[in-house]
Amino acid sequence: MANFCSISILNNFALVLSLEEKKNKLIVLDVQEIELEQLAQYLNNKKNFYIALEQKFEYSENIEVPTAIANSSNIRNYLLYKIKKANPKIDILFNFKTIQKQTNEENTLINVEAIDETTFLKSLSFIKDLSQIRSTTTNKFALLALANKCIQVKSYICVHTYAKTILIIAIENKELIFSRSTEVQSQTPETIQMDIAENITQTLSYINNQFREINFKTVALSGSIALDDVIPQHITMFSNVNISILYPNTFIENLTNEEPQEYILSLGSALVPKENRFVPKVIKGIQQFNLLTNSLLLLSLLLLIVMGYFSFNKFKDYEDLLQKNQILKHRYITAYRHTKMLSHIELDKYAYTIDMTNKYLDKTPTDILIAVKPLMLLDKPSTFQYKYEQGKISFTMDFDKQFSRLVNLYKFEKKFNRTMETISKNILIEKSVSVDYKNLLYKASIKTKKNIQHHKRERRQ
Amino acid sequence: MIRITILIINIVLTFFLYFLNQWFSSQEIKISNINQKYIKNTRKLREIKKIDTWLAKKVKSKLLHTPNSIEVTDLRLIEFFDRFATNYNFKVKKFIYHDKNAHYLSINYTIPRNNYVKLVDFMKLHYQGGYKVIDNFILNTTTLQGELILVQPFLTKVKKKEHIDEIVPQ
Repeated sequence: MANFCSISILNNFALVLSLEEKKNKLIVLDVQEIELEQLAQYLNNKKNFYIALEQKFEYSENIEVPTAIANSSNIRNYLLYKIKKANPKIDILFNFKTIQKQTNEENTLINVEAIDETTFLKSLSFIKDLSQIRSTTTNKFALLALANKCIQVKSYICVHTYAKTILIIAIENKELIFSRSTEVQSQTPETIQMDIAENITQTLSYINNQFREINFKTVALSGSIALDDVIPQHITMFSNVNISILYPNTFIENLTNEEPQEYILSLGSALVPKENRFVPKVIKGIQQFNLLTNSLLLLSLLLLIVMGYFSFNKFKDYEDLLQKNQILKHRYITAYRHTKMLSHIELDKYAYTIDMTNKYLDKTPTDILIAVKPLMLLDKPSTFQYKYEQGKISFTMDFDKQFSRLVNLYKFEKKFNRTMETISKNILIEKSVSVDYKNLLYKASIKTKKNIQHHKRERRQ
Repeated sequence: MIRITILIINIVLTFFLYFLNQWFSSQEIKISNINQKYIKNTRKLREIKKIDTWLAKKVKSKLLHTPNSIEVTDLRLIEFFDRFATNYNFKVKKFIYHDKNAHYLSINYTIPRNNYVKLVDFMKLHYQGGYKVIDNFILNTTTLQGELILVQPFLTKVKKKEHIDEIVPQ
């Protein structure tokens, strides 16, 4: 956690602690007791302020709120109305908490702690940058916060003195149920001491009378009174209570022995929980504004990072694509340079030559001769006519063979038929055969079934 | 104030990056299209190169042998006739005739059937610079006879889309 300043203001003096939180301990980096006029200058370069102020106007009441008003903002408005009614000229800043919920009754009891916002804000004039304020409260809540941290009993009274000022608070279940701040008017040290002791004993009596159902057995002393021998004896004598001293040294470093007693309220201001803080509207507005700007800043940074990531990826893709483009362009240019572009005239000449070649190569009877070669090897045809007409080929083959033995005729016939079957797979031909078994004569005539359309030769070989 | 300035800068930068992204995307599409065209055109050029090579290897020689004067064209036909007239008993059926692209000479031939070598040679006979078209033949017990046409193309301006089927004799 960053360093912060805890400030308490009493009698035109500011007690400033520069603190750092480490492992649940407050490390005191610096202590200062400064006059209020010089405080602004001292705090000039410091940040993160936790402030406890002394307020002349402090309104503490328990107000009954009808249970019909359930909404928190409506309760707040109702309480404000009640407080304003009692204090019409005061600009009210208040906190509230439900003391007990009376489910069977019509009202809920709510404790209200109010201060004058205008005066409170004026008291903070020593802070130039209000956005640096983390917490503001009154001295009694600072004392309450520290007392709650140090004392674990259910109900007790805490007395804090500083010069002539006495601050007394009564606590039950860690909640403030009574507070009083007074200043003795005596001038000499002896009379001041006696007046303080008397004031305290009177207040203790008042508290015991006021809260008869609560048994306050412990009185915790802090501040100058904690270092005094006479006053505690006086209190014990008249009030019959256990006296103890607030001892924050267990969670504070760099302050030893009685040193922390001087800075009890300053230390307490750093420990005040949210519900006991008084934050003026201006500061709240600044805090909300800061929260909003911080959130937006974070969001915008996140967006920027995401967009940056996507842009970088896009750029990489774009770069790769450009590189590919250059390679493809180079390949294209190379291919273009190495490719001879023929003119239309040249192309026409080539096309004409190719067409001529195709046309006249089609006319060759070689294909037919190759196809019928097996038959010609079997026996020489007596006649073979070939004609190419209108792009179509027609041919006729006549066979006329005389045999001396029947077996040869029979074998030739079988061979001839087999050969014909093979040829017929490639060319559509029809045959007419007459076999004269008496004279051992085999006659066959083969011709194209219909004129064969010559298939185009492949141009490229 | 600093935070607001940084916030504004961040927002401006974010928008800038967004539009930069958009620009990259559009450029990617453009370049991808160009790349596709390069690939397609390169493939076409390679095909053209293959065709060029094939043309140079298979067709160009024919173009080189094609005469560009009528007299040379006719003489080639006559020389071929004279060279093989005795061997294959050539008789002129129709003397030189022509269309816009070639000159033709129709010849009757007769080859004894018992000379197998001559028959094969005749079939294999090649007319350099033109075409030898065996239009028809009849192989009977003694002879092989029929008609062949010598085609001698010559270089002339070829009109576009002119179909040679119409001008070549059948």
